[in-house]
Amino acid sequence: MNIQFKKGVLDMCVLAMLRDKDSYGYDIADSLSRKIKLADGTVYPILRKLASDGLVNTYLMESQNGPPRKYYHLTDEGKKVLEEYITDWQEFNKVVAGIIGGHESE
Amino acid sequence: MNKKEYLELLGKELGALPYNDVKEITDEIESHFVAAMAEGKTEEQISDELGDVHELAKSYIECTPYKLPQVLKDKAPKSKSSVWAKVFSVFLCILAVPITACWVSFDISLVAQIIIRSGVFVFRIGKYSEWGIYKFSNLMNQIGSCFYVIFLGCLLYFGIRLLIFAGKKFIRLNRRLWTRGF
Repeated sequence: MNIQFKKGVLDMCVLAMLRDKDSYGYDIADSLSRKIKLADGTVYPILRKLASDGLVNTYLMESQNGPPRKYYHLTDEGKKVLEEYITDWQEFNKVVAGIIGGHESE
Repeated sequence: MNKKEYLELLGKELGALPYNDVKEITDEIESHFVAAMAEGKTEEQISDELGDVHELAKSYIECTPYKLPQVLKDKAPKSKSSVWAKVFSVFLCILAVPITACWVSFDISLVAQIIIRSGVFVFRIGKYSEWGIYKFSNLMNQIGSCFYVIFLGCLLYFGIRLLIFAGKKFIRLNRRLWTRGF
């Protein structure tokens, strides 16, 4: 798939994955790269940017094996932004579908 | 590439970012290695899946643009040069007062000369019938003073233009000195 397509929506996908439960970097990277074909590393800069924008915050939690893991938690601001993203995305999707479907070209 | 090599290379590629950020980022990627190895993957496999180190570092740097202006702002001298620039600006302002005063009084004197000479000119022309035998020389005299008035008018026009031009330049220069220094 076109890399430009992915770049635009990855922020939204990462936020959406954190909507229901907090998660750590590897978990997010692994499950996202299973669904969308991309390098595991792609997710980490996005997480960092979301954290610096205040959309997610982080905390450390002990893991059963190995050192403590950094968990990501969606903030209220993050939830708000995610909702906006989703609304925009759906609207955009509709328009694009219309255009490539040829309905708008008349 | 094994874990150590990958992390070292990543650290090097992130050189543009502050040390704390580099540490946080490499820690995060290291914990990715640990978590993936716990699932039985090899270091080489994990490196491959993480993707090109250069690309990863580039995305990190792109994702933290706010850091760079911050760094530049920290380094920007808020001290000597800008203080000196302000002192210089004040000095220029003080210097500008007498220069402007001279210039303006020069312009005013030009206006006065033009008015007086025009008045005299009109007065003399009005008394044309009384010129008598000096008609020709008087006429030449009047034509001469007419050109002189035109010359003064031109001088006044360019004087005012130059004053406005220099004034604008001066204000711009001073503003730059105050805000940005030399």
